Amino acid sequence: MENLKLELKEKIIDALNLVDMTPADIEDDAPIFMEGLGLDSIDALELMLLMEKNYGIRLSNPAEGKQIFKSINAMAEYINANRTK
Amino acid sequence: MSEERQWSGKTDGTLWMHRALIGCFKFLPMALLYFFMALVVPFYMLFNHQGYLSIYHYLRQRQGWGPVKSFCGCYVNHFLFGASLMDRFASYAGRKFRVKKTGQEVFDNLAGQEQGFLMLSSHIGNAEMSGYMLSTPLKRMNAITFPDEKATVRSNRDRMLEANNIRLISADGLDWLFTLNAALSDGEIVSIHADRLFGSSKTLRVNILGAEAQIPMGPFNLAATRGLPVTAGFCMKTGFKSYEAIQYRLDTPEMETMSKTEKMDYLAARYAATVNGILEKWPLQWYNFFEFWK
Repeated sequence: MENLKLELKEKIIDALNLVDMTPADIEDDAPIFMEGLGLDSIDALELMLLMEKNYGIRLSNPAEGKQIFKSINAMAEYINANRTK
Repeated sequence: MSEERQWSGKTDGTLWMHRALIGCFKFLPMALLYFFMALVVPFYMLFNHQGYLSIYHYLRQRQGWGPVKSFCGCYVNHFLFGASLMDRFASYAGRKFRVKKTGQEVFDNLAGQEQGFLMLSSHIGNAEMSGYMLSTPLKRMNAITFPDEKATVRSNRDRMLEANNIRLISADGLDWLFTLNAALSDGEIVSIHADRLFGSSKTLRVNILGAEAQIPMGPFNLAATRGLPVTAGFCMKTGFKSYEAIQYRLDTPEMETMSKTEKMDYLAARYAATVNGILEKWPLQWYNFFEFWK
C-alpha cells in the first residue's frame, strides 16, 4: 500500500504539473481539494483521467467520487480494491 | 479574470412564469412581441447601466465605432439579445426558424465517430439554439450550464431539450465533473462555454479584436489532456425568422507532436480566431455584458 501511495503522489505531481512539490509534501490523510492541495475542477478532471488511464477505474458516481478524492489514503484504498490494470 | 468581472449566471423566474411565457409564444405573433420588446429596451439599457456600458466600450474600443454609432449599436445589441431569448422560447413552443448550416459536415463527421468531442460555445449569437439545431440522435449532447440558474427553470428546459437528445449539466460543486467525465468516456458530445470562468480561476490569454483577453483554461485543458476533437459552434441571427448555425473544427493533425501546454495554447488561439471572424461579421451579437477586456 505504501508503494501505491508513493506512486499515486508521483503521478498526481506529474499530471497536475505541481513542479514545486515532492511526494513528501503531500500528506496521506490531507484533503486533496480546496484546503489541502488547493486543487480545482480542472485538476479533478485530470485526476479522473489519471484513475482511468493508469488503473482502469472509471468514475461516474459523484457520491462515490467525493469519498475517493478525500485523501491519498482514500484514493489508494479504492485503487487497491477496484483496479483492473 | 477577477470575480467581479464574471456574470452571475442567474436566470430567474418560476416554472409557472416560464410556462406562461411559452404559452405566449405559441399564440401571439412574433412581430408583436418584438415590438413590445423594442419599447422596453431603452429602460433596460437605463437600469442595467453596467451592461450597457460594457457593450458601449466594446463597440467604441474593440470595434472602433464612433460615439453615436456605438450608442445606437447598444440599442440594437440589446434588442437582438432580447430577440434571441424570445426565439429560444418560441422554439420551445414549437415555432420553426429557417436555419442555414455552415460546417454541418464537421459536426456530422464527429457525431458519427466512436469518440466523444467538445463543442465550445460562446456568449455570441444564440448559443443555446446552436445546440438545439445541431442535436443528433447518434450522440447525446451534454450542455454545461451555470449553477445559479433556478432549478424550476432548469427542470422545465430539461424536459424540452431531452426530446432533442440534449442533457443539461449544472456546473455546481464537483458533482457535475463526474457526469462530464462519464459522458466523455461514453463518447458523447460536451458543449461548454469557452468565454466565461466557472469551476476554476485558471485562464489562458488570447487576442480577441486586437486586445488581450482571458478565457477559461478548463475546456482547452480537457481537450488537450484527453486528446478530444474540438469544434467551436455559433448560431447567429440573420433575419426575423432565420439563423445561421456555424461549426468550425479547431483541432488539427499538427497537434500530434505538441506538448499539452502547446495544444491548449494552439486550440485557444484557434478559438479566438473564430471569435474574431464571427464578431467582424456580426459585431452586434456580442452578449458578454461585462468588461471582458479589463
